[in-house]
Amino acid sequence: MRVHFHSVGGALLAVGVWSMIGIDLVDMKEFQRQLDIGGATFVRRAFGDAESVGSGASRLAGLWAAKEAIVKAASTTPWRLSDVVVVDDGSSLCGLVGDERFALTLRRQAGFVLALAVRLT
Amino acid sequence: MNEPQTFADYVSDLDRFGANLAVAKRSFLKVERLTYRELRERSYQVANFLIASGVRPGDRVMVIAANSPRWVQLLLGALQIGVVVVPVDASSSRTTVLRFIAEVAPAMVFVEGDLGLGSRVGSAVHALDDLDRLIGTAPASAPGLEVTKESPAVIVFTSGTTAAPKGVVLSHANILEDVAGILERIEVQEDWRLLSVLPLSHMYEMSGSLAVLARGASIFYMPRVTPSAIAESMVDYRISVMLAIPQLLTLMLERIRQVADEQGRRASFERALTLARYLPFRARRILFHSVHRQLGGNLRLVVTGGAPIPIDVATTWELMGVLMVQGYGLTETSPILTGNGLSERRLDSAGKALYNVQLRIGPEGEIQAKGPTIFLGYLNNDEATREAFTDDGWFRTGDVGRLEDGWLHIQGRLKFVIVRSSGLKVFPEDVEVIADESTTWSAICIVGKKENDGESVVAVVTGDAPDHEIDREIATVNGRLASFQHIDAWRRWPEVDFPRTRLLKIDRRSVQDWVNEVAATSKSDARDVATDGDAVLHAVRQSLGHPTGALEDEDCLADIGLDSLRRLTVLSLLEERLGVTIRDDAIDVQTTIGDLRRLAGEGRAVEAPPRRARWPYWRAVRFVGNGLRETLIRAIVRIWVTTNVEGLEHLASLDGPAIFIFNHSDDFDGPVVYHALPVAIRRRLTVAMGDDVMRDHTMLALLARFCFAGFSFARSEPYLPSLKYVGTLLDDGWNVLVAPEGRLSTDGRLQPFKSGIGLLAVNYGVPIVPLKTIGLAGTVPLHAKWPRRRSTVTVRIGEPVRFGSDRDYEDVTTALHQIVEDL
Repeated sequence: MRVHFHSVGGALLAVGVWSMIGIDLVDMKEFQRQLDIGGATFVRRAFGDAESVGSGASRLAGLWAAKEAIVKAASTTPWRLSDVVVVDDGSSLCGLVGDERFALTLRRQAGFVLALAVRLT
Repeated sequence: MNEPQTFADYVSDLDRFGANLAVAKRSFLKVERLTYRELRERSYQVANFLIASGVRPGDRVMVIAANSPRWVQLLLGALQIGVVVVPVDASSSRTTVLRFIAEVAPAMVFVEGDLGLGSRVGSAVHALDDLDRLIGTAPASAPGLEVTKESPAVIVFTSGTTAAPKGVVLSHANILEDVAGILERIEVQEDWRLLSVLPLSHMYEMSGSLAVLARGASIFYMPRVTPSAIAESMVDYRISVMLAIPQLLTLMLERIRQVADEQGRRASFERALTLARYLPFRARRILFHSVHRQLGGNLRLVVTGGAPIPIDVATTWELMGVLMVQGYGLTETSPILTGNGLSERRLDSAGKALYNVQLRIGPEGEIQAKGPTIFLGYLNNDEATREAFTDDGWFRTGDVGRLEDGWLHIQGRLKFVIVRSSGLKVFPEDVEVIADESTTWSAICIVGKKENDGESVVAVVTGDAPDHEIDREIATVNGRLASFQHIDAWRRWPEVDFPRTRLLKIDRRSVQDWVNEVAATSKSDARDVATDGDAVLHAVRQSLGHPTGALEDEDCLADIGLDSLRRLTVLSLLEERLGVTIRDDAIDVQTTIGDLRRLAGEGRAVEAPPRRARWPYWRAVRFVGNGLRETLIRAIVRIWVTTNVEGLEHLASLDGPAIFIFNHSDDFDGPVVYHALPVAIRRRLTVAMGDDVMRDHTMLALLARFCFAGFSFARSEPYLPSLKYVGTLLDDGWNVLVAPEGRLSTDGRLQPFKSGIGLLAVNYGVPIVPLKTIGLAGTVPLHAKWPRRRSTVTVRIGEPVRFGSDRDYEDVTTALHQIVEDL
């Protein structure tokens, strides 16, 4: 996947648009390592119960990338990461923080997970 | 009772305990639990898989993994066909593992995670997690291979930092005799619940576990062994017994005193200890009920070994109503030689010799032993084997001790005895007992330093007390010692803590070598202080995973490479180690190490999980409660509802706890469905009640708990504690009745199920029995107080279903909904 950083015209416009977009890249290997060290406490702090139970590291890494991307796209910083909700209805992904909604895309490639979040106002 | 002579008999005997829970490990992402019957069948499958893979009796299988039910399954599968198991501590370095592999040439290696062994090894390498897939469809019947008692069963590498670790070879007879000896001394009960805290690569844990499993008790493993995980598991599993090293008991006791301090109840705690001396054990448990509540309320016995337990620690635990049973042994002796019994025990002694062990005190006070538990020899090292025995064939333990009326008292390791030029002997342990009482140093280790004539006594200390304070404290310690025991010199260890063995004992050999070599040539050792042992720096370093230069308080987290992922790891580690919760948004890229340290100091204590009422499950309560339900409540229900039950034959296949799900169409359906099930099931049937109902309607909650063994189940986040609690109930053999719709249907149609039921089905692997009530809706509609009409109801019981742990829980939830819909 290629991301075109120069496709947006004026600088002012760029600020306006980019503040609605968040990107996060997670290295699976590093994520697995932090998961091993941080253990259940880490999982509990990063994800709500319903999100994490029964999930493997790969799914959690995707969730993590999605949440980080949403945090960057959100207008306010959420209190805890577990306040960021990721909804997967099978066909598409979306995210929620308070009243704000986000469209999400996840790409997995060569041991990395890339998440892109766009705030929908 | 006849003890098994071979592991084939041992495994076959497991069937006696059928549906009892044998081994369980519940980690955040998965659950493994095996009943005795499953353990037996799976170990047969492992045996048949090994045979089919070309592994022959006498071949070696190496296991490098943390304890788990699969580990036990593999152990029993291999042993029963004479395959030799080589357990290796999961935290061993790659170099060590490769050295072990070269030594034993295993036919197969089971690892946890990726050790990067790959093509470097000439044997098949498997992930232990893959075991279930590997054994796949292998037959679950005894392979029927004859194994002689004298053949090797395990090879265990002894701890130590010497260049060439010694492989101790133990036979089938060695281990089974030791298990028999342990069981003769300690009467293990079927209802014991043991928390495993030591690695199975240590014989103390292996033989202890085998003894426990020979009596039908349950063993619980933890995903990670940390103080907070131990505390949590003790409560979750209501642990009654632990095999522990003294260090853990000292730590736990410190924590208990600390909590008493924080609650301002330290003085009354100490007063209670004085009072407890005059009370029987049962009364002590009541006196210290708040301590026991922290420990899960069920801890009764701790078997200690690995090192002598400080007498004051042992005494304090006993005063709080926990039996302390101490034993002694070595890997070479399978491992137990002596032990205290439950009724006959002395806190200051390592106990009496097991019935099949002979002991004597040799020259220089060395403890020597003979008996069927003494090992076959060291692997590929006849010279070391010869040295381990006296000329008349007694095993030399290398420990010094004395026997008084058969009670063994350990004085120390022979080889660390410090011999003065005068010929007088100083046991480091004798000096340390006194020196340990000081708080000037974090830890102290006494070793001998070679002088021109004899040895001098050197104290090595850790901690950051100024030199002059240490000087003064050493003088005080010397004042309490016999003059020949006096400390001659002291040095400060250059790191935060001493190197430790796997059992967390100070690695005295390394300290002694350092004193004699490194420290002897360095003049400035006492000033060479490097103390950064605080938890914050430790967590930061661990999360970064690579060495860093000196970290200063002013350093910004972002500058030293802590991204958001690593920052959360640091917070998680601090929460585990210090028990404080720091909010995610309290730190960001600007936060410095100094800020973090301040936040760790201010952070609020971790909230304790809500306490669960245990009384509904007491035998006496169930007796009365069940009686009331079967008579009065059943009669009331019959006034309004006539029940027909269909499909009872489907329940015949159940041989352990199950989850029963039903459609929630009416307030009355709980009792109706409950009574539709056969007596054998409803004697141990508990009902999940909405937590809001249990909270808001006190009388109803009391009735539900008393008559229906009901418990409260969360209807909103956080779900996890409730889901975990269902696991605890299932582990205890309770059937669980749940209405997965979460709330009453308003129009009689089946509503979508909450995904919690899918999680339970996938994670706990127990059968789910679908039930459907037909014709009940409207008898007591929502918000009505009394039944509106009489009705005739059909309760239809469907076939039990099981779901594999690889299934997606959302799919399973939908599937279960469909099954109930179709009934």
